This record gives sequence, structure tokens and C-alpha cells, in this order.
Amino acid sequence: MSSKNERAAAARAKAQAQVKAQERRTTMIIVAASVVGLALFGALIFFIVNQGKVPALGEAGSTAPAASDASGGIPVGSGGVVGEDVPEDAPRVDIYLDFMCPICGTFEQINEADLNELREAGEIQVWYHPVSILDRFSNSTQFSTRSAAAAGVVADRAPEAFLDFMTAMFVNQPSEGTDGLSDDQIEEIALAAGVPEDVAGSLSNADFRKWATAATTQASQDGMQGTPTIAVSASGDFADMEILDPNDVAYFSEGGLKAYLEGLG
Amino acid sequence: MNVSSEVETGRWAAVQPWLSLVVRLAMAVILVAAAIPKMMDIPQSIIAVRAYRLLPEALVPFVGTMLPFVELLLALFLFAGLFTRLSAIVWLLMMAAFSAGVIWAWSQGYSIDCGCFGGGGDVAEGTTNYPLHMLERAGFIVLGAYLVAWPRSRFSADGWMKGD
Repeated sequence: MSSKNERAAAARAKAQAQVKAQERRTTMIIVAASVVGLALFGALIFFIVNQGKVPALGEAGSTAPAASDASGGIPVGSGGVVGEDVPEDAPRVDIYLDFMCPICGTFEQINEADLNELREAGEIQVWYHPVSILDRFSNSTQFSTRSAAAAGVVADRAPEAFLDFMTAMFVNQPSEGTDGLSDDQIEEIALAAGVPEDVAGSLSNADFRKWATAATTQASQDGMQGTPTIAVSASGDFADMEILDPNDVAYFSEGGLKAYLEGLG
Repeated sequence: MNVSSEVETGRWAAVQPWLSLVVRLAMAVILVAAAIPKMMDIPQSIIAVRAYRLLPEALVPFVGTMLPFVELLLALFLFAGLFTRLSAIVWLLMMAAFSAGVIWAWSQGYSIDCGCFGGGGDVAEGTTNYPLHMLERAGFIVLGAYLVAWPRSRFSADGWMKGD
């Protein structure tokens, strides 16, 4: 008799435990579904806000340097001035650079003189794309974006000082993983490169920072995967450009890029 | 003979939940390590997704933005040990998708960083280490497969739900 009671009690306890377990399970499913739902909803809002924050290139809200085109490129003419005397029918060279990128500095060192020579002779058009893909290497100070935007301001308001400013930025290039250069330091570099005082004081312009971000997105859509990226269009039309493979064109060897470009003409 | 194998089963039964706990936490830590740098630099995460040249442009920014959130969510489930088997299956599906991407990029000869732990996008020629990436990926898949097979672990929400 008693063993029968015990068995019944055990069965009841087991059934109760099962009901408890089922209840807990239901609760956890609801909790989990809510967490997933909320997190994804939050991420979606974040995504929409983020998308709205940066206007596409050419849209209102991002000020582009006057001479730049829809690709975000800044043309330098034969006289070394942005937007002046750019030979439209000559082969076009597009150079994508991040001021934080060490091998961009190397590229400049190796090719600057060659590119200047060809450009001054009117044999090529050179388009610079200061882009910001390395913001994560400047301890959240966004050095890549700030410096690309500063280059945009210089191109727009001090077009004759643009080349010197770029060269100086690479000479004073900070190491990856540091805070980069402060806005004040960039201003000093600009002044030393011949940028007028009023322009040098406006390098941190917010609209140009938006332009730098928009131009980077455009560059990425055009096939820029990293820096430096060198694209060449033999016809001089950006639509015909092809990104150079460093295995085919040895642009990290002295004279490699120059020989290739001379072969185009 | 029979006895010794029973002893071994007993030992495995004692060790397995602890091993599953270690695997589960390791997977969670890997996910967090993968998500944080992406979270800090969403534009770069988008560029990294675009670099695979697999997805249509309309989807690229969306996937690049959502990816770290999804990774963190999965990490949360693994930390808690909630719906462990399901989480491990989701992990394996993600790994399958990422591996397909890396194999695709490799087969196309693209020189890209996988972007697995943030960053990503293109890298200088020769610094793309595809074989090492695939080895790492194989290890991740082993972890996931183990957890699918033995999801029961110590200190898990699953265990609490069942009442043990």
C-alpha cells in the first residue's frame, strides 16, 4: 500500500518537474525571441540612421572640392594646380591614397618625381583620391577621414598648394596605431606647405569630412579595395579605367609605373 | 573488458559537460573578438564585405552593418548556454558562408584580407594568407561540430531549463 503511494507521489513529482521545465523553456523562448528581435531591430535602426548620415557623392550636404569629379578624384594639371590645364585626352592616372597608409608613402616616394615629370609634360592627367579606409588605426581620432577632408579643403580653396600639402602629409606621416596628427598639426603642415592662413584654419570643415566619407564609398564601389590603388585609363575617360595589378605593373619599383605610362602614349 | 569500457563511458560523461563548456565559451570569445573591431569601424566592415565581390551592391552596406550585431547576438547565446545546439548550428552555417566567401575570393585570385576580425578589404600582394585562414576556419568548424554533437554543458541556461 505504502509503496503504491510512494510511486504515485514520485510520478506526481516527476510530472510537476516536467511542467516546471516546460514553463522555464517557454519563458526562455520568449526572452530569447525578444532579445533577438530587439537587437535586430536596433541594428536596423542603426543601419538606417548610418545610411542617412553620409550623403552620396554629389548629394546636398557633402561639399566636394570644386574641381573634383563624380569619382571623387582631384585632378592636378600640368602647372601643378588643381583643376587647371588638365589635358583631357591624355591617359588618366587615378591614385587612391590614405594618409595613414605606410605603403602609400612608399608609393609616393618612388613615383612622385616620375608622375610630376609626365604630368608637367602634359603626357598624363593625374587624379588624386584621398580616401579614409584606415580610421581604425588612429585610436578613434579618425585621422584618415580628417586628413582626407583636409586635402579636399586645400584642393578646393588653395588649389596651387595641394601637391605640396600632400607631399608634406606623407613626410610627416604618423605610424599606424597612434593618434595620428591632430587638427592643429595638420594646420601647421598646411601653413608650411604654402596654404593661406584663412584656408589652413578651415581644414576641419564638417562638410568636407562628409565628402571624404562619400568619396571613399564611391571609390570602394569603383573597385578600390585598399591603398594605394592605381587605376589607369588610356583613353583619358574614367569609365575606361582599369585598376593596375602590381604583379603586371611594378609600381613599387623605381621607374616601373613611368615605363608603363610611357608605353601607353 | 566490459567493466573498463563502462568506466570510460562514465569518465567521458563526467568530462564532456566541462569540455562543452570550454568549447562554448571559446566560441563566444571568438565571436566577440570578431565583432568588436567591425563595430568600431562599420564603413570598413562594409568595404570588407564589398571586397569579396559576391553580393549585389544594394545588399553590401546592409550585410556589412548587420554582421557584427549578429555575431554579438550569437556570442550572447553561447555565453549563456541557451539553445546551445541551435546556436552551434547557426555558427556552422555562418562558417560555411564565410568559408565559401574566402574560397571564392581565393579561386578568383583576389588579394583580400578575409575581414574576419575586422579590417579587411584589399591587402598588399602576397600578404593574403589564404591557407592559414582556411586552417583557422577548419578549427572553428571542428568547435562548432563538437558542440552540435555534445551541446550539454556545465553552467548553461539549457541545463537550468531542464532542471538539473
